[in-house]
Amino acid sequence: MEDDRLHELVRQRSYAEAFEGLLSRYQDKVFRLAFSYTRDRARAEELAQDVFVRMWQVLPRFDARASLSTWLYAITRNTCLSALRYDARRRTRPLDEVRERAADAPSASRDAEDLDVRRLVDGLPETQRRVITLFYLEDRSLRDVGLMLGMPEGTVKSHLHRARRALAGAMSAQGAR
Amino acid sequence: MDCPHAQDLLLDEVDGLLEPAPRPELRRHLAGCESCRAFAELQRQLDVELRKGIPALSLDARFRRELEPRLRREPWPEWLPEVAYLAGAALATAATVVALPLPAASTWWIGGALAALGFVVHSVLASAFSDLDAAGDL
Repeated sequence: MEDDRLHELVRQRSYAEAFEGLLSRYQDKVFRLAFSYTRDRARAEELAQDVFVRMWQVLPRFDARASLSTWLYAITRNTCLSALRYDARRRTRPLDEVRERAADAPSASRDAEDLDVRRLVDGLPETQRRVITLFYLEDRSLRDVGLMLGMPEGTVKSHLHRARRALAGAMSAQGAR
Repeated sequence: MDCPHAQDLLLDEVDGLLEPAPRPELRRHLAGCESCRAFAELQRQLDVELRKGIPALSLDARFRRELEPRLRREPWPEWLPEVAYLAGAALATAATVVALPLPAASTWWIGGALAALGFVVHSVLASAFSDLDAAGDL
């Protein structure tokens, strides 16, 4: 369902139909945006659920000042930032959860090169990491990455280039060792 | 062409922002610049690694199954914040009227407590709807 049609449904107060269209069109994008913040698939799924529950609750307040997708992405970013702040405050985690996460971690038998590049990406500054992760998750679309992160395309490109230069430098350093 | 310009074009090529084209000036620069050739090769290699290392992600049917029970409630009515705000103001006014006949010291205490309560209610409402305001500012 196109964005214009979704706006029309909200204007007509057909919230259930609008929400269904929104979910079909944006659930994967919201999930990937959340993943770019959390780097954890399960946590990103939880947050995507929270985002859509919140969206369902507040849909009648949509006033078309921004587009629905802009609104949805802003809610996603705010939800993720709040969750990251909450996670950072929880200094200790239950032992079972730690064990579970350790079991989910990539095993040594996986492709060593894949693991290296993921580790290098994890070492980037937050914004560069989010931009380069989303760029590859979103099929290399600067426009989509810009919309999702609320940044102009030129800013996305500049973060992307900085990330590529930093990763190439880290790869060369790794190769030299 | 200098190295920074050549490297920017090479990065645009890797990003897929430039259509494949001969670009003779860039090719001439690369032919004479070992450092930019190495840069181009490294960036191509990195692109391959990133494609492998950041695989496609999508949700399965379980996501909707788990989401549905959480959506059973109707959405919040659009007038909710205004009504909540008016109800809070009416309550504070009524409580102040009730407190007026009491001795001056008690009125000060009650007035202070109501002001604090008003601040808390306002903060909770502002926080609950901050997502909407943030989105509207974009």
